[in-house]
Amino acid sequence: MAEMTGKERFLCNLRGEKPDKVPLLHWSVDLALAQSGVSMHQFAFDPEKIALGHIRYVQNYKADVCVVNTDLWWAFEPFGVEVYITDNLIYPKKTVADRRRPDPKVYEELEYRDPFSGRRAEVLRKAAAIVSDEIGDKVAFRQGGYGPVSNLALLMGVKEALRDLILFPEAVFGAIKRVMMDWTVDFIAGSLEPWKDRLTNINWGFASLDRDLAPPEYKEEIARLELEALWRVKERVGRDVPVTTHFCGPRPDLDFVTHTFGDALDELQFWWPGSEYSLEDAVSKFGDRYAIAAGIDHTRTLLLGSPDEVDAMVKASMEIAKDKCSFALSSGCELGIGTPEANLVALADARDKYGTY
Amino acid sequence: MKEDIEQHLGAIAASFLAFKYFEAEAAIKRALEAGVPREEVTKALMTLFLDALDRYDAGKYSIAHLTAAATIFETGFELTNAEVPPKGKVVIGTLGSSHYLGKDIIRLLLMADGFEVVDLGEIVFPDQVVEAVEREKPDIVALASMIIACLPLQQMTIGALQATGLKDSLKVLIGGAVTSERWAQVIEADGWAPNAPQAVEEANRLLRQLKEGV
Repeated sequence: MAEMTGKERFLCNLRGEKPDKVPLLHWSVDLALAQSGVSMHQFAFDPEKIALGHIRYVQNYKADVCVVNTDLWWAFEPFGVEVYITDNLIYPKKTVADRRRPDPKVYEELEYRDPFSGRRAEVLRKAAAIVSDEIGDKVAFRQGGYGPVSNLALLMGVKEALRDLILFPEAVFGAIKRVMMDWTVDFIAGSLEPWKDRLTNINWGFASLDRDLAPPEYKEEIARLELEALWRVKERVGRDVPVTTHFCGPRPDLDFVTHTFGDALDELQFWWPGSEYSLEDAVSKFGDRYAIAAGIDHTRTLLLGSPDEVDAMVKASMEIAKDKCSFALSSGCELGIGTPEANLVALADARDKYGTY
Repeated sequence: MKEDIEQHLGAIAASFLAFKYFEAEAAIKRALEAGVPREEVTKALMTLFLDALDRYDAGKYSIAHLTAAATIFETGFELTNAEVPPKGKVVIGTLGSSHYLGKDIIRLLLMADGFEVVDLGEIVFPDQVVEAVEREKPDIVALASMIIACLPLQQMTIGALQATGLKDSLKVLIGGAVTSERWAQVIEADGWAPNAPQAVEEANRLLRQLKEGV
Protein backbone atom coordinates (compact mmCIF):
# COMPACT_ATOMS: atom_id res chain seq x y z
CA MET A 1 0.00 0.00 0.00
CA ALA A 2 1.25 3.48 -0.86
CA GLU A 3 2.30 5.54 2.12
CA MET A 4 -0.53 7.69 3.45
CA THR A 5 -0.23 11.13 4.98
CA GLY A 6 -0.87 11.32 8.70
CA LYS A 7 -4.24 12.88 8.01
CA GLU A 8 -5.28 10.13 5.60
CA ARG A 9 -4.07 7.47 8.02
CA PHE A 10 -5.93 8.99 10.94
CA LEU A 11 -9.23 9.42 9.07
CA CYS A 12 -9.00 6.00 7.41
CA ASN A 13 -8.57 4.40 10.84
CA LEU A 14 -11.54 6.29 12.27
CA ARG A 15 -13.72 5.10 9.38
CA GLY A 16 -12.98 1.53 10.43
CA GLU A 17 -10.81 0.86 7.36
CA LYS A 18 -7.21 -0.32 7.37
CA PRO A 19 -4.67 2.44 6.77
CA ASP A 20 -1.08 1.77 5.62
CA LYS A 21 -0.04 1.61 9.26
CA VAL A 22 -1.36 2.27 12.73
CA PRO A 23 -1.68 6.03 13.36
CA LEU A 24 0.76 7.51 15.87
CA LEU A 25 -0.86 10.12 18.11
CA HIS A 26 1.00 12.23 20.62
CA TRP A 27 1.50 15.91 21.29
CA SER A 28 3.25 18.17 23.76
CA VAL A 29 3.34 21.88 24.48
CA ASP A 30 6.64 21.37 26.33
CA LEU A 31 8.38 19.68 23.42
CA ALA A 32 6.83 22.06 20.87
CA LEU A 33 8.18 24.88 23.01
CA ALA A 34 11.62 23.26 22.93
CA GLN A 35 11.37 22.93 19.14
CA SER A 36 10.56 26.63 18.82
CA GLY A 37 13.89 27.64 20.36
CA VAL A 38 12.42 30.37 22.58
CA SER A 39 11.35 30.58 26.22
CA MET A 40 7.73 30.27 27.33
CA HIS A 41 7.70 34.03 27.94
CA GLN A 42 8.12 34.60 24.20
CA PHE A 43 6.30 31.48 23.01
CA ALA A 44 3.06 32.37 24.79
CA PHE A 45 2.72 35.67 22.94
CA ASP A 46 4.16 34.86 19.53
CA PRO A 47 1.85 32.99 17.11
CA GLU A 48 4.66 32.30 14.67
CA LYS A 49 6.82 30.65 17.34
CA ILE A 50 3.87 28.60 18.58
CA ALA A 51 3.20 27.48 15.02
CA LEU A 52 6.87 26.77 14.31
CA GLY A 53 7.27 24.64 17.44
CA HIS A 54 4.19 22.55 16.69
CA ILE A 55 5.09 22.09 13.01
CA ARG A 56 8.63 20.97 13.87
CA TYR A 57 7.21 18.65 16.53
CA VAL A 58 4.99 16.67 14.14
CA GLN A 59 7.67 16.62 11.46
CA ASN A 60 10.53 15.50 13.72
CA TYR A 61 8.61 12.96 15.76
CA LYS A 62 6.34 11.68 12.96
CA ALA A 63 3.13 12.30 14.89
CA ASP A 64 0.02 11.92 12.75
CA VAL A 65 -1.97 14.45 14.75
CA CYS A 66 -1.32 18.06 15.68
CA VAL A 67 -2.77 19.77 18.76
CA VAL A 68 -1.87 23.45 19.00
CA ASN A 69 -1.87 25.07 22.41
CA THR A 70 0.22 26.79 25.05
CA ASP A 71 -1.79 26.15 28.23
CA LEU A 72 -5.30 25.80 29.62
CA TRP A 73 -5.73 29.27 30.97
CA TRP A 74 -5.81 31.82 28.16
CA ALA A 75 -9.56 31.55 27.64
CA PHE A 76 -10.18 32.23 31.33
CA GLU A 77 -8.34 35.55 31.29
CA PRO A 78 -11.57 37.49 30.58
CA PHE A 79 -12.87 36.27 33.97
CA GLY A 80 -9.90 37.99 35.60
CA VAL A 81 -7.67 34.90 35.86
CA GLU A 82 -4.05 36.07 35.82
CA VAL A 83 -1.28 33.68 34.91
CA TYR A 84 2.21 33.07 36.13
CA ILE A 85 4.68 32.32 33.31
CA THR A 86 7.91 30.45 34.07
CA ASP A 87 10.49 29.19 31.60
CA ASN A 88 8.26 26.28 30.63
CA LEU A 89 4.97 26.61 32.49
CA ILE A 90 1.89 28.79 32.52
CA TYR A 91 -0.29 28.62 35.61
CA PRO A 92 -2.94 30.80 37.26
CA LYS A 93 -1.81 32.96 40.16
CA LYS A 94 -4.90 32.28 42.24
CA THR A 95 -8.24 30.62 41.96
CA VAL A 96 -11.51 32.53 41.79
CA ALA A 97 -13.12 30.61 44.66
CA ASP A 98 -11.51 31.04 48.06
CA ARG A 99 -9.34 28.12 49.06
CA ARG A 100 -9.93 28.26 52.78
CA ARG A 101 -13.47 29.54 53.13
CA PRO A 102 -16.19 28.25 50.80
CA ASP A 103 -18.76 30.77 49.61
CA PRO A 104 -21.75 30.06 47.33
CA LYS A 105 -21.84 33.71 46.22
CA VAL A 106 -18.89 33.29 43.84
CA TYR A 107 -21.07 30.92 41.82
CA GLU A 108 -24.27 32.94 42.17
CA GLU A 109 -22.54 36.13 41.02
CA LEU A 110 -20.57 34.62 38.13
CA GLU A 111 -21.21 36.38 34.82
CA TYR A 112 -20.51 35.34 31.24
CA ARG A 113 -17.31 36.58 29.60
CA ASP A 114 -16.33 36.20 25.96
CA PRO A 115 -13.56 33.51 25.93
CA PHE A 116 -11.85 35.28 23.03
CA SER A 117 -11.66 38.74 24.57
CA GLY A 118 -8.41 38.05 26.47
CA ARG A 119 -5.02 39.22 25.20
CA ARG A 120 -3.72 35.73 24.35
CA ALA A 121 -6.79 34.38 22.55
CA GLU A 122 -5.91 36.01 19.25
CA VAL A 123 -2.34 34.68 19.54
CA LEU A 124 -3.61 31.11 19.73
CA ARG A 125 -6.08 31.57 16.89
CA LYS A 126 -3.38 33.03 14.67
CA ALA A 127 -1.00 30.18 15.54
CA ALA A 128 -3.66 27.62 14.65
CA ALA A 129 -4.34 29.34 11.34
CA ILE A 130 -0.61 29.33 10.45
CA VAL A 131 -0.26 25.62 11.27
CA SER A 132 -3.43 24.85 9.35
CA ASP A 133 -2.15 26.66 6.25
CA GLU A 134 1.35 25.13 6.47
CA ILE A 135 0.65 21.46 7.15
CA GLY A 136 -3.12 21.20 7.03
CA ASP A 137 -3.11 18.65 4.23
CA LYS A 138 -0.52 16.40 5.84
CA VAL A 139 -1.57 15.73 9.43
CA ALA A 140 -4.80 15.43 11.35
CA PHE A 141 -5.86 18.38 13.48
CA ARG A 142 -7.36 17.83 16.83
CA GLN A 143 -8.81 20.68 18.80
CA GLY A 144 -11.27 20.77 21.63
CA GLY A 145 -11.43 21.18 25.33
CA TYR A 146 -13.33 20.27 28.43
CA GLY A 147 -17.05 20.35 29.08
CA PRO A 148 -18.87 22.97 31.17
CA VAL A 149 -18.38 21.21 34.51
CA SER A 150 -14.63 20.92 34.08
CA ASN A 151 -14.43 24.47 32.79
CA LEU A 152 -16.13 25.78 35.90
CA ALA A 153 -13.62 23.78 37.94
CA LEU A 154 -10.69 25.24 36.00
CA LEU A 155 -12.07 28.73 36.56
CA MET A 156 -12.91 28.37 40.24
CA GLY A 157 -10.08 26.01 41.17
CA VAL A 158 -10.49 22.28 40.77
CA LYS A 159 -10.40 21.48 44.45
CA GLU A 160 -12.70 24.37 45.32
CA ALA A 161 -15.25 23.42 42.67
CA LEU A 162 -15.22 19.76 43.74
CA ARG A 163 -15.62 20.80 47.37
CA ASP A 164 -18.39 23.27 46.58
CA LEU A 165 -20.23 20.75 44.43
CA ILE A 166 -20.77 18.85 47.66
CA LEU A 167 -21.30 21.85 49.93
CA PHE A 168 -23.44 24.02 47.61
CA PRO A 169 -24.65 21.87 44.70
CA GLU A 170 -27.45 24.25 43.68
CA ALA A 171 -25.09 27.21 43.38
CA VAL A 172 -22.51 25.20 41.42
CA PHE A 173 -24.96 23.64 38.97
CA GLY A 174 -26.67 27.04 38.66
CA ALA A 175 -23.39 28.62 37.50
CA ILE A 176 -22.76 25.79 35.06
CA LYS A 177 -26.19 26.12 33.45
CA ARG A 178 -26.35 29.92 33.55
CA VAL A 179 -22.78 30.75 32.45
CA MET A 180 -20.43 27.87 31.68
CA MET A 181 -22.65 26.00 29.24
CA ASP A 182 -22.76 28.89 26.75
CA TRP A 183 -19.13 29.76 27.51
CA THR A 184 -17.99 26.20 26.76
CA VAL A 185 -19.86 26.03 23.47
CA ASP A 186 -18.52 29.44 22.42
CA PHE A 187 -15.00 28.56 23.52
CA ILE A 188 -14.73 25.18 21.80
CA ALA A 189 -16.61 26.17 18.65
CA GLY A 190 -14.49 29.33 18.43
CA SER A 191 -11.27 27.35 18.92
CA LEU A 192 -12.21 25.13 15.98
CA GLU A 193 -12.79 28.03 13.57
CA PRO A 194 -9.15 28.72 12.57
CA TRP A 195 -8.83 25.17 11.22
CA LYS A 196 -11.73 25.72 8.81
CA ASP A 197 -12.40 22.60 6.75
CA ARG A 198 -9.00 21.15 7.72
CA LEU A 199 -10.27 20.30 11.19
CA THR A 200 -10.32 16.54 11.45
CA ASN A 201 -11.07 15.80 15.05
CA ILE A 202 -12.78 17.26 18.12
CA ASN A 203 -11.16 16.26 21.37
CA TRP A 204 -13.45 16.16 24.40
CA GLY A 205 -11.89 16.10 27.88
CA PHE A 206 -13.59 13.83 30.38
CA ALA A 207 -11.75 14.84 33.52
CA SER A 208 -15.04 15.48 35.31
CA LEU A 209 -16.06 11.85 34.80
CA ASP A 210 -12.91 10.21 36.11
CA ARG A 211 -14.01 7.48 38.50
CA ASP A 212 -12.39 9.14 41.52
CA LEU A 213 -13.41 12.73 40.98
CA ALA A 214 -17.11 12.75 40.22
CA PRO A 215 -19.56 12.36 43.09
CA PRO A 216 -21.72 9.34 42.17
CA GLU A 217 -24.92 11.17 43.10
CA TYR A 218 -24.19 13.88 40.50
CA LYS A 219 -22.58 11.80 37.79
CA GLU A 220 -25.68 11.51 35.60
CA GLU A 221 -26.32 15.24 35.82
CA ILE A 222 -22.69 16.05 35.00
CA ALA A 223 -22.80 13.70 31.99
CA ARG A 224 -26.09 15.21 30.80
CA LEU A 225 -24.56 18.71 30.84
CA GLU A 226 -21.36 17.57 29.12
CA LEU A 227 -23.33 15.79 26.42
CA GLU A 228 -25.58 18.80 25.85
CA ALA A 229 -22.50 20.97 25.33
CA LEU A 230 -20.95 18.44 22.96
CA TRP A 231 -24.07 18.27 20.78
CA ARG A 232 -24.28 22.05 20.70
CA VAL A 233 -20.63 22.26 19.58
CA LYS A 234 -21.29 19.70 16.86
CA GLU A 235 -24.28 21.72 15.71
CA ARG A 236 -22.18 24.87 15.54
CA VAL A 237 -19.46 23.10 13.53
CA GLY A 238 -22.15 22.09 11.09
CA ARG A 239 -20.57 18.89 9.80
CA ASP A 240 -19.78 15.49 11.21
CA VAL A 241 -16.31 15.88 12.70
CA PRO A 242 -15.21 12.77 14.64
CA VAL A 243 -15.01 13.11 18.41
CA THR A 244 -12.23 11.58 20.50
CA THR A 245 -12.28 11.27 24.28
CA HIS A 246 -9.44 12.57 26.37
CA PHE A 247 -8.96 10.68 29.63
CA CYS A 248 -5.68 11.54 31.29
CA GLY A 249 -6.62 10.33 34.77
CA PRO A 250 -5.60 7.00 36.29
CA ARG A 251 -9.19 5.74 36.71
CA PRO A 252 -11.08 6.45 33.47
CA ASP A 253 -14.71 5.41 33.63
CA LEU A 254 -14.94 4.14 30.07
CA ASP A 255 -18.01 2.01 30.80
CA PHE A 256 -20.05 4.93 32.07
CA VAL A 257 -18.92 7.31 29.34
CA THR A 258 -19.55 4.92 26.46
CA HIS A 259 -22.94 4.02 27.92
CA THR A 260 -23.90 7.67 28.39
CA PHE A 261 -22.36 9.29 25.32
CA GLY A 262 -23.01 6.46 22.86
CA ASP A 263 -22.93 7.62 19.25
CA ALA A 264 -21.67 11.09 20.12
CA LEU A 265 -18.17 9.56 20.31
CA ASP A 266 -16.00 8.00 17.61
CA GLU A 267 -12.71 7.20 19.32
CA LEU A 268 -11.75 6.32 22.90
CA GLN A 269 -8.37 7.72 23.80
CA PHE A 270 -7.20 6.93 27.31
CA TRP A 271 -4.03 6.46 29.32
CA TRP A 272 -2.70 2.91 29.12
CA PRO A 273 -0.25 1.56 30.22
CA GLY A 274 -0.62 3.75 33.29
CA SER A 275 -4.29 3.72 34.17
CA GLU A 276 -6.31 0.93 35.72
CA TYR A 277 -8.39 0.32 32.58
CA SER A 278 -6.55 -2.26 30.51
CA LEU A 279 -6.23 -2.06 26.76
CA GLU A 280 -7.42 -5.68 26.50
CA ASP A 281 -10.67 -4.79 28.27
CA ALA A 282 -11.20 -1.65 26.19
CA VAL A 283 -10.64 -3.56 22.95
CA SER A 284 -12.91 -6.45 23.87
CA LYS A 285 -15.71 -4.27 25.25
CA PHE A 286 -15.66 -1.34 22.85
CA GLY A 287 -13.48 -2.27 19.88
CA ASP A 288 -16.49 -3.09 17.70
CA ARG A 289 -18.07 0.34 18.28
CA TYR A 290 -15.21 2.78 18.62
CA ALA A 291 -11.66 3.30 17.46
CA ILE A 292 -9.28 2.83 20.39
CA ALA A 293 -6.27 5.08 20.99
CA ALA A 294 -3.80 4.07 23.69
CA GLY A 295 -0.62 2.07 24.15
CA ILE A 296 2.02 4.65 25.08
CA ASP A 297 2.92 5.24 28.72
CA HIS A 298 4.18 8.80 28.52
CA THR A 299 5.02 9.03 32.23
CA ARG A 300 7.20 5.97 32.68
CA THR A 301 8.42 4.01 29.67
CA LEU A 302 8.63 6.89 27.21
CA LEU A 303 10.02 9.34 29.74
CA LEU A 304 12.28 7.11 31.81
CA GLY A 305 12.83 3.94 29.80
CA SER A 306 15.36 3.00 27.15
CA PRO A 307 14.68 2.82 23.39
CA ASP A 308 14.51 -0.99 23.78
CA GLU A 309 11.82 -0.64 26.42
CA VAL A 310 9.88 1.73 24.16
CA ASP A 311 10.13 -0.84 21.38
CA ALA A 312 8.83 -3.55 23.71
CA MET A 313 5.95 -1.34 24.89
CA VAL A 314 4.85 -0.64 21.32
CA LYS A 315 5.15 -4.31 20.38
CA ALA A 316 2.99 -5.33 23.36
CA SER A 317 0.34 -2.71 22.59
CA MET A 318 0.20 -3.72 18.92
CA GLU A 319 -0.19 -7.39 19.86
CA ILE A 320 -3.17 -6.55 22.04
CA ALA A 321 -5.03 -4.19 19.75
CA LYS A 322 -3.71 -3.87 16.20
CA ASP A 323 -5.80 -6.46 14.40
CA LYS A 324 -8.74 -6.46 16.78
CA CYS A 325 -10.09 -2.95 16.33
CA SER A 326 -9.37 0.38 14.66
CA PHE A 327 -6.32 1.07 16.73
CA ALA A 328 -4.15 4.15 17.05
CA LEU A 329 -0.95 4.15 19.08
CA SER A 330 -1.49 7.07 21.44
CA SER A 331 -0.20 8.65 24.61
CA GLY A 332 -2.68 9.28 27.41
CA CYS A 333 -1.80 12.94 27.60
CA GLU A 334 0.91 15.39 26.63
CA LEU A 335 4.47 14.14 26.55
CA GLY A 336 6.67 15.64 29.22
CA ILE A 337 9.67 17.87 29.03
CA GLY A 338 12.78 15.73 29.18
CA THR A 339 11.30 12.89 27.12
CA PRO A 340 14.48 11.56 25.47
CA GLU A 341 14.85 12.24 21.77
CA ALA A 342 16.08 8.66 21.31
CA ASN A 343 12.82 7.35 22.78
CA LEU A 344 10.75 9.47 20.42
CA VAL A 345 12.73 8.11 17.50
CA ALA A 346 12.31 4.57 18.87
CA LEU A 347 8.57 5.18 19.20
CA ALA A 348 8.18 6.16 15.53
CA ASP A 349 10.45 3.29 14.42
CA ALA A 350 8.52 0.76 16.50
CA ARG A 351 5.22 1.98 15.07
CA ASP A 352 6.62 1.34 11.56
CA LYS A 353 8.09 -2.01 12.63
CA TYR A 354 5.02 -3.49 14.36
CA GLY A 355 2.21 -1.31 13.08
CA THR A 356 2.34 -1.72 9.30
CA TYR A 357 -0.67 -3.46 7.75
CA MET B 1 -21.12 17.74 81.54
CA LYS B 2 -20.42 14.41 79.84
CA GLU B 3 -23.88 14.45 78.26
CA ASP B 4 -23.36 18.03 77.15
CA ILE B 5 -20.06 17.09 75.53
CA GLU B 6 -21.65 14.19 73.72
CA GLN B 7 -24.49 16.42 72.56
CA HIS B 8 -22.07 19.01 71.18
CA LEU B 9 -19.89 16.40 69.51
CA GLY B 10 -23.01 14.79 68.07
CA ALA B 11 -24.07 18.12 66.56
CA ILE B 12 -20.61 18.55 65.02
CA ALA B 13 -20.74 15.03 63.58
CA ALA B 14 -24.24 15.48 62.17
CA SER B 15 -23.35 18.65 60.28
CA PHE B 16 -19.95 17.24 59.19
CA LEU B 17 -21.51 14.10 57.76
CA ALA B 18 -24.23 16.11 56.00
CA PHE B 19 -21.52 18.40 54.52
CA LYS B 20 -23.16 21.49 56.04
CA TYR B 21 -20.12 23.71 56.22
CA PHE B 22 -21.56 26.73 58.00
CA GLU B 23 -23.57 24.59 60.42
CA ALA B 24 -20.47 22.55 61.25
CA GLU B 25 -18.48 25.71 61.87
CA ALA B 26 -21.22 27.06 64.16
CA ALA B 27 -21.46 23.75 66.03
CA ILE B 28 -17.70 23.71 66.67
CA LYS B 29 -17.79 27.30 67.94
CA ARG B 30 -20.75 26.52 70.21
CA ALA B 31 -18.97 23.47 71.62
CA LEU B 32 -15.82 25.45 72.40
CA GLU B 33 -17.83 28.30 73.96
CA ALA B 34 -19.68 25.76 76.11
CA GLY B 35 -16.36 24.51 77.49
CA VAL B 36 -15.96 21.28 75.57
CA PRO B 37 -12.18 20.57 75.78
CA ARG B 38 -10.34 21.50 72.60
CA GLU B 39 -8.68 18.09 72.51
CA GLU B 40 -12.11 16.41 72.49
CA VAL B 41 -13.27 18.49 69.54
CA THR B 42 -10.00 17.86 67.68
CA LYS B 43 -10.26 14.14 68.31
CA ALA B 44 -13.85 14.08 67.05
CA LEU B 45 -12.88 15.97 63.90
CA MET B 46 -9.97 13.60 63.24
CA THR B 47 -12.30 10.62 63.63
CA LEU B 48 -14.78 12.15 61.20
CA PHE B 49 -12.07 12.94 58.65
CA LEU B 50 -10.53 9.47 58.90
CA ASP B 51 -14.03 8.04 58.51
CA ALA B 52 -14.42 10.09 55.31
CA LEU B 53 -11.17 8.58 54.05
CA ASP B 54 -12.43 5.08 54.82
CA ARG B 55 -15.58 5.85 52.85
CA TYR B 56 -13.42 7.06 49.98
CA ASP B 57 -11.35 3.88 50.10
CA ALA B 58 -14.57 1.85 50.08
CA GLY B 59 -15.79 3.71 46.99
CA LYS B 60 -18.65 5.43 48.80
CA TYR B 61 -17.09 8.89 48.58
CA SER B 62 -15.41 10.62 45.64
CA ILE B 63 -12.56 13.10 45.80
CA ALA B 64 -15.22 15.82 45.80
CA HIS B 65 -16.58 14.47 49.12
CA LEU B 66 -13.06 14.21 50.46
CA THR B 67 -12.24 17.83 49.67
CA ALA B 68 -15.46 18.98 51.32
CA ALA B 69 -14.65 16.88 54.41
CA ALA B 70 -11.08 18.21 54.41
CA THR B 71 -12.32 21.81 54.36
CA ILE B 72 -14.64 21.26 57.32
CA PHE B 73 -11.89 19.37 59.17
CA GLU B 74 -9.36 22.13 58.58
CA THR B 75 -11.74 24.89 59.61
CA GLY B 76 -12.50 23.01 62.81
CA PHE B 77 -8.83 22.20 63.44
CA GLU B 78 -8.00 25.90 63.26
CA LEU B 79 -10.86 26.84 65.54
CA THR B 80 -9.78 24.36 68.21
CA ASN B 81 -6.16 25.53 68.01
CA ALA B 82 -5.24 22.41 69.98
CA GLU B 83 -1.64 21.94 71.04
CA VAL B 84 -0.48 18.39 70.32
CA PRO B 85 3.28 17.58 70.59
CA PRO B 86 4.30 16.66 67.03
CA LYS B 87 5.98 13.32 66.26
CA GLY B 88 7.98 14.90 63.44
CA LYS B 89 8.09 17.85 61.09
CA VAL B 90 7.28 17.79 57.39
CA VAL B 91 7.78 20.51 54.79
CA ILE B 92 5.38 19.88 51.90
CA GLY B 93 4.67 21.53 48.57
CA THR B 94 3.50 21.03 44.99
CA LEU B 95 6.34 21.68 42.57
CA GLY B 96 5.76 23.90 39.57
CA SER B 97 2.02 23.66 39.12
CA SER B 98 -1.09 24.77 40.94
CA HIS B 99 -2.36 21.26 41.68
CA TYR B 100 -2.85 20.85 45.38
CA LEU B 101 -5.68 18.41 45.85
CA GLY B 102 -3.50 15.38 46.61
CA LYS B 103 -0.93 17.44 48.47
CA ASP B 104 -3.60 18.98 50.70
CA ILE B 105 -5.12 15.63 51.55
CA ILE B 106 -1.70 14.31 52.52
CA ARG B 107 -1.04 17.44 54.55
CA LEU B 108 -4.26 16.97 56.51
CA LEU B 109 -3.63 13.26 57.00
CA LEU B 110 -0.14 13.96 58.28
CA MET B 111 -1.55 16.56 60.66
CA ALA B 112 -4.18 14.08 61.82
CA ASP B 113 -1.43 11.51 62.32
CA GLY B 114 0.50 13.85 64.61
CA PHE B 115 3.03 15.49 62.28
CA GLU B 116 3.70 19.21 62.28
CA VAL B 117 3.32 20.25 58.66
CA VAL B 118 4.71 23.37 57.01
CA ASP B 119 2.86 23.86 53.73
CA LEU B 120 4.81 25.78 51.11
CA GLY B 121 1.74 25.77 48.88
CA GLU B 122 1.81 25.33 45.13
CA ILE B 123 3.96 26.48 42.20
CA VAL B 124 6.94 25.87 44.44
CA PHE B 125 10.46 25.80 43.01
CA PRO B 126 13.65 24.15 44.30
CA ASP B 127 15.19 27.28 45.83
CA GLN B 128 12.03 27.85 47.89
CA VAL B 129 12.30 24.31 49.27
CA VAL B 130 15.96 24.86 50.17
CA GLU B 131 15.09 28.12 51.96
CA ALA B 132 12.25 26.41 53.84
CA VAL B 133 14.51 23.53 54.90
CA GLU B 134 17.13 25.97 56.21
CA ARG B 135 14.42 27.84 58.11
CA GLU B 136 12.23 24.99 59.37
CA LYS B 137 14.74 22.14 59.78
CA PRO B 138 12.18 19.43 58.96
CA ASP B 139 12.59 15.67 59.29
CA ILE B 140 10.90 15.06 55.96
CA VAL B 141 10.47 17.04 52.74
CA ALA B 142 7.42 15.89 50.78
CA LEU B 143 7.37 16.93 47.13
CA ALA B 144 4.37 16.50 44.85
CA SER B 145 4.58 16.70 41.07
CA MET B 146 1.15 16.42 39.54
CA ILE B 147 1.87 17.01 35.87
CA ILE B 148 4.61 15.61 33.75
CA ALA B 149 6.13 19.00 32.99
CA CYS B 150 6.95 19.37 36.68
CA LEU B 151 8.70 16.03 37.19
CA PRO B 152 12.20 17.47 36.62
CA LEU B 153 11.62 19.86 39.53
CA GLN B 154 11.66 16.93 41.96
CA GLN B 155 15.07 15.90 40.67
CA MET B 156 16.31 19.50 40.77
CA THR B 157 15.08 19.93 44.36
CA ILE B 158 16.84 16.79 45.58
CA GLY B 159 19.98 17.92 43.75
CA ALA B 160 19.80 21.32 45.44
CA LEU B 161 19.35 19.72 48.87
CA GLN B 162 22.32 17.43 48.20
CA ALA B 163 24.48 20.29 46.92
CA THR B 164 23.83 22.35 50.04
CA GLY B 165 24.41 19.41 52.40
CA LEU B 166 20.86 19.74 53.75
CA LYS B 167 19.84 16.34 52.43
CA ASP B 168 22.03 14.57 55.03
CA SER B 169 19.71 15.47 57.90
CA LEU B 170 16.34 14.71 56.34
CA LYS B 171 14.39 12.29 54.16
CA VAL B 172 12.71 13.17 50.88
CA LEU B 173 9.32 11.68 50.06
CA ILE B 174 7.89 12.15 46.58
CA GLY B 175 4.48 11.54 45.06
CA GLY B 176 1.96 12.68 42.48
CA ALA B 177 0.00 11.18 39.64
CA VAL B 178 2.90 11.13 37.17
CA THR B 179 5.53 9.78 39.58
CA SER B 180 6.54 6.17 40.04
CA GLU B 181 8.79 4.00 42.20
CA ARG B 182 11.18 3.86 39.28
CA TRP B 183 11.29 7.64 39.06
CA ALA B 184 11.95 7.84 42.82
CA GLN B 185 14.94 5.54 42.38
CA VAL B 186 16.24 7.52 39.42
CA ILE B 187 16.23 10.81 41.35
CA GLU B 188 17.41 9.24 44.64
CA ALA B 189 14.32 10.08 46.67
CA ASP B 190 14.10 8.21 50.00
CA GLY B 191 10.47 7.30 49.61
CA TRP B 192 7.58 7.25 47.18
CA ALA B 193 3.87 6.76 47.71
CA PRO B 194 1.15 6.18 45.13
CA ASN B 195 -1.67 7.60 47.28
CA ALA B 196 -2.41 9.63 50.40
CA PRO B 197 -2.75 6.86 53.01
CA GLN B 198 0.47 5.24 51.82
CA ALA B 199 2.19 8.63 51.93
CA VAL B 200 1.44 8.76 55.66
CA GLU B 201 2.77 5.22 56.12
CA GLU B 202 5.86 6.14 54.14
CA ALA B 203 6.38 9.32 56.19
CA ASN B 204 6.29 7.25 59.36
CA ARG B 205 8.75 4.74 57.90
CA LEU B 206 11.13 7.52 56.87
CA LEU B 207 10.85 9.15 60.30
CA ARG B 208 11.75 5.84 61.95
CA GLN B 209 14.73 5.48 59.60
CA LEU B 210 15.87 8.98 60.38
CA LYS B 211 15.66 8.40 64.14
CA GLU B 212 17.50 5.09 63.78
CA GLY B 213 20.18 6.82 61.73
CA VAL B 214 19.51 4.73 58.63
